[in-house]
Amino acid sequence: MRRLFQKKDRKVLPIQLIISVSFTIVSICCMGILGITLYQFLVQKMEDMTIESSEQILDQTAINLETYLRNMRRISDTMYYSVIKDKDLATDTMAEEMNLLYEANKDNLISIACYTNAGELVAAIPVSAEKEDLHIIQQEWFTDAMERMENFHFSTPHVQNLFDNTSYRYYWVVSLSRAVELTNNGSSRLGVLLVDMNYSSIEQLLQKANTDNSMEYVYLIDREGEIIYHPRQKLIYMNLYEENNRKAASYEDGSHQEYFQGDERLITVKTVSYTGWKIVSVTSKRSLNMGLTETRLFFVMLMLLTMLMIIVINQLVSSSIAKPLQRLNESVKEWEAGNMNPKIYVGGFSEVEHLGKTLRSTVAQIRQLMDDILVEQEEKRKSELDALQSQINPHFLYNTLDSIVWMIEGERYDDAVFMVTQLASLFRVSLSRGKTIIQVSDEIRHAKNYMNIQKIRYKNAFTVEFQIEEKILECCTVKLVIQPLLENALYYGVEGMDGDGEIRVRGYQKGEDLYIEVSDNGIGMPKEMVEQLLAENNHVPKKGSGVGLINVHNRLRLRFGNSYGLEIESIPDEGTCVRIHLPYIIYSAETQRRLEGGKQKRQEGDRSSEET
Amino acid sequence: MRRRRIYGIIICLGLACVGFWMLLRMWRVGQEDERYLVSVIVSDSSNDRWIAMKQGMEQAAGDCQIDLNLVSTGPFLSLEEELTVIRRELSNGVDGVILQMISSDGVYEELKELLETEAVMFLETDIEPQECFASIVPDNTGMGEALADCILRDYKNELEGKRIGILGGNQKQIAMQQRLSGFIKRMEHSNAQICWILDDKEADTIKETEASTPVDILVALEDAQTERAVDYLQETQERLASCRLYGEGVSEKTVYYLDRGVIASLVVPNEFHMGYLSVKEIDRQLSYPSTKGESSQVDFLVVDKENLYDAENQKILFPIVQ
Repeated sequence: MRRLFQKKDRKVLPIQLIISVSFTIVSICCMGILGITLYQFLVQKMEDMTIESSEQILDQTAINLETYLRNMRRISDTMYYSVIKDKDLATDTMAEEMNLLYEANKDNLISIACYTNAGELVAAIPVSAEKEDLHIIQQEWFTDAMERMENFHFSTPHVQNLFDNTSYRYYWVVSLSRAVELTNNGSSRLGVLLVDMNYSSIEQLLQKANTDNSMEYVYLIDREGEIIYHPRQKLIYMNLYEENNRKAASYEDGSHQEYFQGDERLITVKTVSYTGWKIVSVTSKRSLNMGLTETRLFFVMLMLLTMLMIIVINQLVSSSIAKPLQRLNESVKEWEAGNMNPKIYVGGFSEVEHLGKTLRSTVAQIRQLMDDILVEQEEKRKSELDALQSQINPHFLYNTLDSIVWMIEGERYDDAVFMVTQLASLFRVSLSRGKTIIQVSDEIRHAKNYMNIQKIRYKNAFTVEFQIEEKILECCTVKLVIQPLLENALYYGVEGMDGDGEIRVRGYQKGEDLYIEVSDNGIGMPKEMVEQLLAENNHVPKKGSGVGLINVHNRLRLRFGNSYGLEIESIPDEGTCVRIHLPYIIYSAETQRRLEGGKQKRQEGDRSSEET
Repeated sequence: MRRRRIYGIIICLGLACVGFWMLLRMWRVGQEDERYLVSVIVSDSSNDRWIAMKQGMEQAAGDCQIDLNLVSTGPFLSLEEELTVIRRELSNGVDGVILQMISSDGVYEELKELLETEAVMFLETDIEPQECFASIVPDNTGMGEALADCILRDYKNELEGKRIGILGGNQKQIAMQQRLSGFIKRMEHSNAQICWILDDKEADTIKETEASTPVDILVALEDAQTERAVDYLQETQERLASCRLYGEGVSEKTVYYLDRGVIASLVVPNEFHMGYLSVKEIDRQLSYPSTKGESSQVDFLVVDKENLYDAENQKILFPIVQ
């Protein structure tokens, strides 16, 4: 499991994806939080506005209702204080004043009537026949007035049951009753003044506050919660609809929340002064939600649109940030892949551009440094070559001059002249105006000069044969590579021999390569020794100049590459053949310059690395 | 990289689709809900007896967002006259009709042909064959029985030798037939004698019939017949003292004469409820066209002079708006 996590951890996502996804998540979260907060704020605001609107409607309705009820009380007061108190029933009639009052207010009134405490009708307007068998004193408005004489009493709506109406009309009324003092023959007695208000007037007042929306309405209850007006009053009477009116009677003025029949509702209550009636405004939360549906959809759509925009913008932004980095990364990858001269991207933001410029200059510097190292290595190699070549001259010169001294001492002046001539020719080739690469013909001449000198020294104790193909004479070779082999053939091959030594130099072309063989019929050497000859730090005992085969081998490989150099074959008591392996390159000034610069070897190196 | 791009495009397309759907919904929210047009065809539509029913219908129409057309009619003298009005309303492109048929027989085929797509409800009375269409009716049999029960109660079951005359109303209607049968069945063992039964066509001969065969108890099975009986008794004051009237009625006139003591007991169907349910039911049929209309019954009140002003009775008997 841990390994799995480690593996997962190692999975690195692209910068564009990380930027895009993280920006998108953060933006969407912010948008979501902002949207929800804004929506909640809007809902709260709408709720507040609904409450405010309900309160305004309630206030207005209460004002209208209070005005209406005040008028009714005024009628009652006027009737009592200006008419009844001034009249003696035995002598006066109140019909005229009563009629005047009724006519002035008949839109809102059904009737005005005055009864004695025994329930006998004193006066009434409009004039109608009183119904028979009425039990006035048992009617609620009458008992209320008699029980609490100091107050006005407002009844709940009921059908008036006092007067006979031959037009078959029955009126719903709200009765306003009060106890009054009647004067009859100078003595006073109690009575009840009844003002029957037209219920339709109250209904109309409240209908104005009700809209068509069945989930927002206003109703009116008395202090016990009995319904006075409700837009669905009939349905409530027939138990087809239920209202929480009893509970509403217990609410204080202001806004409340309640759950009724599974519906959450906002209730706003306003008490109508003096009567104790309460106007109740009901707003279902469902109605608020329905009103908010459009807003909710708008919010969701806005959020979706914003999300889309955020995603697109994030893509563009992340792309503009990541693209230069990705292109820079591609450049680095190209560099990593071995292209030492990559095209480093420079562009994008200033930071990325700076990185690109820095990287480009770094790459250039590294390339310069590598070139410098190559030059230095070449210089070093040249120095080594020069050192190796310079190892030859002192030994050879010492030996040759030693021979010349002996010739002169022995008065062999012709030989000495020949030898000096040969030596001069040898040195001419050795110097070659500082060149390292010379023609094979020059090298062969150098070898012949050397062997001529040595033959004099060794008094023709050995024979030398040169078999060189004409076509290789104009090829390139590193100078002074045959002479050490001849020297070795002399010292290790034929010097200790009993018979005549034979040394043969053979030059030929094979394929695209050139070979120069130096073979002798000397004592040869075992295979182990052959293997050690070309090894660095070999322990093969050295004679002569002390410059071994390894010297030549290294020079050839340094110049032409590891594919070239010396190959040694030796059989003890039969002889040794040392073969110089060179590339077949026709000598020219250009070729010479190129090989002098070590380019052949570099090309060889490149070729071998490509093969691997 | 390519897969990520495809995922990104899919997410963007998904979001765009949801946004488009929201836009469509927003557009639909802005539109008003479809309102249905329903015509109500009853005989003598301006008669007071329909006041409570119209109130019930208007209340339901307000709740259900229905445009109600109370077709102005006089008393239908024939079935063909009523069918003509129905055809005219259907040709006006109404979505549904509420009908009070003056005859229950011989109209099914005609109505079936006429009402192919429109929703239909029958008021007060069903048609033959019953239950083919939905109807809202009072408990007619129960009302007939209730009238009989009032008589039995008032006479303390001592109806030996008492003679009864019945104004049976429109006996072409199943409702009236049910009321009559309910009444007769309940009176079967009362020892009272049912002397005559007059239907609405014969009701004009009440004076002559009553003169030749006087009765102690008059029973009227529908509002119009109750009013006619009241008028008759008012005309012949001497009969008022010796003949007691029991009737069905919903009009203010019948209530008034109950209040005056001319009518001994009155059976009052809950017309408001009937009107309310009829519109509710037709709205259900229009909203869910694949559903079958459901018939239902409404209750009735039995009132007399004593309980006329009871708080509960007031609420049902007297229309609030005058």
